[in-house]
Amino acid sequence: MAEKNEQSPEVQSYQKLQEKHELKRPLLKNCLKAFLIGGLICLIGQLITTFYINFFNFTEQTAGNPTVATLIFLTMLATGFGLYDRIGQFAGAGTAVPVTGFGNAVISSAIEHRTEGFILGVGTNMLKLAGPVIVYGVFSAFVIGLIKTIVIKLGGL
Amino acid sequence: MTRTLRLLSLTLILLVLFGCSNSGTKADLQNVSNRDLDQSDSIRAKETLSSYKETTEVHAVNTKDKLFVAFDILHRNRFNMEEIESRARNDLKELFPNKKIEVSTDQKLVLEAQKAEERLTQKKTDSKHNLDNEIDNLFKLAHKKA
Amino acid sequence: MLQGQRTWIFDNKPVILSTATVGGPDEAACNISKDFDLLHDDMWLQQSSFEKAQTMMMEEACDIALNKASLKADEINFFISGDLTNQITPTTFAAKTLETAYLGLFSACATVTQSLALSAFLINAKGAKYILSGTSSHNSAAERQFRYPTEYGGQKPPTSQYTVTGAGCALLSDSGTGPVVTSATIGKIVDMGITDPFNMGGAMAPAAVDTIMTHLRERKIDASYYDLILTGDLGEIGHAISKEMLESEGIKLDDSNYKDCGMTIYNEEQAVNAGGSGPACAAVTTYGHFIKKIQKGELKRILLVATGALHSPLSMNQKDSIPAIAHAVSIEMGSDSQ
Repeated sequence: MAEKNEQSPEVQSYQKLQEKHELKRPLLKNCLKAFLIGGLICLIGQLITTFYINFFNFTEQTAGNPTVATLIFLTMLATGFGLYDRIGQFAGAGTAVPVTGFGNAVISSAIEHRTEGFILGVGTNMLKLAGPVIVYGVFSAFVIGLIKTIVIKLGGL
Repeated sequence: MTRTLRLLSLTLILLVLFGCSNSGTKADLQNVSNRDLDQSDSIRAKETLSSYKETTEVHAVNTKDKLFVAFDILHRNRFNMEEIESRARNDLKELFPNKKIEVSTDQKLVLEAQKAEERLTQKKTDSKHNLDNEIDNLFKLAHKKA
Repeated sequence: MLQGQRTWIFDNKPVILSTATVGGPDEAACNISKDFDLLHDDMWLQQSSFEKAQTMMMEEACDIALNKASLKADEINFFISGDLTNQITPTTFAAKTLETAYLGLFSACATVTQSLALSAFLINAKGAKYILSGTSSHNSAAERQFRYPTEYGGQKPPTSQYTVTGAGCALLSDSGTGPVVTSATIGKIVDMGITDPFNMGGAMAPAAVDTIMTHLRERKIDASYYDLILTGDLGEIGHAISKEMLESEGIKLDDSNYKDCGMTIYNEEQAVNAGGSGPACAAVTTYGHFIKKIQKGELKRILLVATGALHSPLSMNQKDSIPAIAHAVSIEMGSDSQ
């Protein structure tokens, strides 16, 4: 594909015309909506954590796991009932960034590919959207761990 | 502005005000009459920790050889929580060199320590053996790592 | 007859004997829902997959068109159709049910005019007596293949469009009463380097303009010949861009004689961003809404310019731009067309 500056003048002038008409994403409004909804999700998470601390035998340290599990469960219900994508259209990054977004990516893919069977359909395609998160998350953790080890060995930290 | 928008912004303002308010007074000390279950060490520990400017509440229980302290700090100091915790540990170690000491800032442990204090004052914990068990449980809870 | 480089004039005037349109739940709530022959309230149509539901809609549309013309499937010479799904399998399974000779096509959202042009040519050249020409699409099947799973909470930008769930088809013949197909211009690929799959309108507008200009030039008429020039699914943005491009070429059109199916089909409460899209968009809007206007005499001559974006998820990932095409077919009233 031609680089931007190799494109013919006709193509470049069209692109300018196109940009003039293109409905720009309302960036500030989107940021605000993402902030509010993302914060709301975290607030719900904190409420769940506090619930687990006060009514069960979890400490702040150990309440993290059941909190995430509960949030993912709620995400599953919201995704299955067709609510999550509507909230997502409103909130954008606000629903995509928290762990609920990761859950939604996996769950929606799993639901979608049910018609192709459990092994080749659901099993193969479930992590289609979430795959990069896992791959690059693990990889960057590995790299950071390596860097930390080297720095410590060299007496840095 | 529409009604829902007004309601939403009012709720938001209220939440922010409540959330940012100063959570309360310094720790309240208590007395236990039973000499077996003497808590004067806990009281001293609580006084020491109360003198920190970051502390909002402290709870402590002790036997002759063990001391458990749980305290909570101001929200704005949470960033330095580890440093405050180790300062507390060092100060208490100096005060009580012969005791086994455990310090925690975990919400759960503050709750549990407070409950342990109450059980002592309400005489629900009435023997050295019971108190010992309670403190052991607190120690175990503090070490739980997921 | 060939006129110019790529325009056909149909002297034998193939007739559209009947049309049929089928829609899903979003279409039942849309602007032109009254013009549908059959509407469903469920995306699955009680089938076990979206693709099977799409096949069902195509079959239903063909059945309704046949009934309206009092014909049976075994009297049809050819079934010429296509859709968006990989290897156009939903259409193929519909062809299996029809048991007719089958020519499968792929032009994405321009399939309806690609099919109509070829069907009219065959009938005009006396290569067939009856042809079923149509197309179908399904929102969830298209989203799953080209973008994200249906329930994924990703935020779609305001330039994105909403694939129509439906099927539309026309039954063409060499004789009978009804609107006639008078000419067609086959489009060529126009690619202006747009790479954003959420901005189809911007990618397809130049193709529409190229085909419209070529058609008018080769048929030796000007835009006022048509009561209405109708694009397939340029959407709000593509429509505005194409209007400006046409104006700079000296063709001034306004909202009364230049419309877009994608903008016509859905109403403002439906969250469709820039408008409807998909092969069925132009098909159901033309074969339902606008054909009725021709039959009633409200419109005498229209030029349908369906536009297609011929990319694939693979080409997108490989950072290729979106090649677009537009095929034009003119439909005119029965007795007094030239």
